[in-house]
Amino acid sequence: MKKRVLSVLLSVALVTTLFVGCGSKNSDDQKAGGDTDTTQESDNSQLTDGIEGTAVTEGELDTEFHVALTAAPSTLDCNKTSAVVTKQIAYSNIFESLVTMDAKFGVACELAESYTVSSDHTVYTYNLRKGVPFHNGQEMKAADVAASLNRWIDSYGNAASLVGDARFVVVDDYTVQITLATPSIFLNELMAGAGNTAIIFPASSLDSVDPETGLLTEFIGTGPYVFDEWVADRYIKLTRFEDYVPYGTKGVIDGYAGYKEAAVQTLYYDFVPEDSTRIAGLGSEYDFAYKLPADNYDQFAGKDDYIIYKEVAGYPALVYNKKAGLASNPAFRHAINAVLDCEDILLAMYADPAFYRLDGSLMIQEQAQWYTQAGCENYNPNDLALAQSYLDEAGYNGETFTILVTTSYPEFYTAAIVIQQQLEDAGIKCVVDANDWSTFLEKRADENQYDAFITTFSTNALPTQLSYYNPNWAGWVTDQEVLDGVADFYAASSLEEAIDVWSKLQEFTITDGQEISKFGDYQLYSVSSAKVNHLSYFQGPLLWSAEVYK
Amino acid sequence: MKKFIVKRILSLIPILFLVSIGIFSLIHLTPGDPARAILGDLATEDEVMALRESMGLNDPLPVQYFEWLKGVFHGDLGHSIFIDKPMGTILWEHLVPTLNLTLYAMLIAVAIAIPLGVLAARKKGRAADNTVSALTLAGISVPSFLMGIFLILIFAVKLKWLPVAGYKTVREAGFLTHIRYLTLPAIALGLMQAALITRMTKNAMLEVLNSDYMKMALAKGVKQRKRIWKHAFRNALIPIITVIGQSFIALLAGATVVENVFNIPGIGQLVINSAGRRDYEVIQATILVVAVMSVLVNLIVDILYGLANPRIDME
Repeated sequence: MKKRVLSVLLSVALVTTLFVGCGSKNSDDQKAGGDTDTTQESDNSQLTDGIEGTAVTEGELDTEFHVALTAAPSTLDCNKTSAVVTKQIAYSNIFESLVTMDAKFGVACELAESYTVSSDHTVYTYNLRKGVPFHNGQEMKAADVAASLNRWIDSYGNAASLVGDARFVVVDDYTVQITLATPSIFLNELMAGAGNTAIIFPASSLDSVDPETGLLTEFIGTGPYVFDEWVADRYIKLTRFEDYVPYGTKGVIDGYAGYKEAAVQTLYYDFVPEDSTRIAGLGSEYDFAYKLPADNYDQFAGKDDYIIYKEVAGYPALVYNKKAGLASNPAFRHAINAVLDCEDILLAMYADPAFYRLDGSLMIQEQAQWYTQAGCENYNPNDLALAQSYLDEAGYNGETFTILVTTSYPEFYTAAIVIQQQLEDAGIKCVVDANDWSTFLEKRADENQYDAFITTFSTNALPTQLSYYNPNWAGWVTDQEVLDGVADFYAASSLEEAIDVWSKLQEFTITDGQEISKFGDYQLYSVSSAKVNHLSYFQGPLLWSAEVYK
Repeated sequence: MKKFIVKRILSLIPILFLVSIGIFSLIHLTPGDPARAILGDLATEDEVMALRESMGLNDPLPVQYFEWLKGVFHGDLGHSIFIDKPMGTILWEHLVPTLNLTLYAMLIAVAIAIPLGVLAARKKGRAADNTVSALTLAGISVPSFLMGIFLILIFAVKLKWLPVAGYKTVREAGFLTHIRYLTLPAIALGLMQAALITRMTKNAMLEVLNSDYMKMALAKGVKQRKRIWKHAFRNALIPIITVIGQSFIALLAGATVVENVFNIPGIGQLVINSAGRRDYEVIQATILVVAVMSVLVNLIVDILYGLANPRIDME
């Protein structure tokens, strides 16, 4: 009953935003949607409740901000890659989108002043903000938006699946529209939360596309920072866009949306792969160090010199190869799942229970709208008798189960070793095939190379954006129930219906289908110097309002 | 001498040709795909295949090799798709930090090693010799990355005398700042080589000091400073130069580890990062250039032999 009431309430909320999205610049709307915070321990973020420490706001403000990242991006062309590091640097600093994701994983207007959706959910019309300049001085107009979004559709499989042959068209200088052949209520969620982000750039940027790679070579957006310099293997430098036109209300930030002040003149994203170097340089060379090892947490906790940013980042899982080999047999997948002791795996991966939690839901608790326990009774059974019965059913005869893993993420390799031991103890022969990242990606694309691989899944706006629902992605989901479930989800005519479809889809995914075996949720932490103030944190550091004292 | 140099340079051609085939084969036969590295974890097979096709990666390997070789002969070492710059520019940008670091480390190593080696030889069996022996043992035993971390903790984190990591060019921040950023990595890199050169200097000096002509010089009353530095040291130089030459190459190679610890964008980091993302053209060109440098350093060492000891016939 409670679930039903919740569903109805959520439906009302969604319908309200669906038919007249965004509406005005009135910040009260956005305040209602996000936690804009006066209750944080620190004044450094208005978004997440995982911030520990207090900013020391004394002295002179610095004009430079240095972020130490673990790796460099391969490109800043957000349309073409799902790499987190590309999103962290380019999205919402350099580029913005029509709609973006708020802290509750909902949709917030950014370059769209407002939008409307027809009652049959086929016609989406976006009214653009006027007077928004690109970094090259040209005003953003509908032709730029249509060109950008159509390239995004062509680049992003999920978008292409949802819109089919439909494309954005120019209605007038400040209005774009798309007409879908099949109704869908989720186009905005997809645009707001896509891995390959739906950035807006001048139509003329398409002339700069490299004919060999198809990637943008000039990075011109509407965001508060201008791409300045990329020194290979050292840093990417962004400088403040003096003509940036902010939206929303000063001081209010909600996820990727909100009033961007560009308080710091120059942002440096330094590439520092060595954990020890990021840690040692914190407070001197770097103002913010991203993703530090759990082992070092006590070094920062409770210290006046630092502020810690914690966020549930997603979950690690074993993804089965459904196309070939042992795991193409569902009974065998059930057997593996029955063997796993997820607590042991997570402890080995993250060293401290403070950095993980046992939960089988495929959407994390923080995404309350989609969080469900459907099918979770099959999570972490750790039942060897049950495993044996599944092995008998699968006709297992001592074949070797191969886990593909990359050593580029040491925690994945650790998990593979623990799983190998657990499987061996249960009488299943297992080998771990460990590779560097590039080799891992290549082998993962070949169904004959492995039976399962380990990866993590980050937070998405929609559950169907989870990559294991893409039949073309490694692991290759083949169950018709899953494919139909995804199609039904996108075709749902109401949020209530979508939630119901998702609940069934999750249940099938982790019970009968056993597409993956989730280990549990994990938490990342990053640290800044206490001299950093107003830094927002959502899927990584957001620096447009951050300031740093010398 | 000229004939010798010309012969040595001509002998480079087959070596470099073999190196080019070896490195090209090794890189291209190693699993991994630049197209996947660009497109990210979530890319589908169709997207990857389309990008591979447009990048020419689906062409047969010999075709790709000869295309690359043709470019090399025309002075074009290629173009990095990730860094989006011609290889000449990339190599220059990354070679300068590595060469500066290596030269600085070499300077530190030689400045420490020669006086200590001579001192240990002169004071053989006494406290000074034993102390130098203990120090060289420690220097050889501690790996450079560990030394780097110790140095960071002491001189950057605790004492805050020098920067923790990073790199500033002379143009960006001036010569002094440039040197400040390179000092800790140069010490970390140079200490192990200092230990090796110290040992070699001591041994070479001992051999010379025990020779008859040195005893004669002593009997003739030649002053100690002149005996040690003019007569003994000059004659001990040949094996020392050999070790210094080898050390230079070892420092170039060892710089990779130190560059990683201190986050210096040198050749080592370039190769590691490029290997990770399978940036083929960068790896090929970089290793080719490093091979040329190694051979040239050996050539220079051979020439220095002749200058240090005129009895060696370079013809």
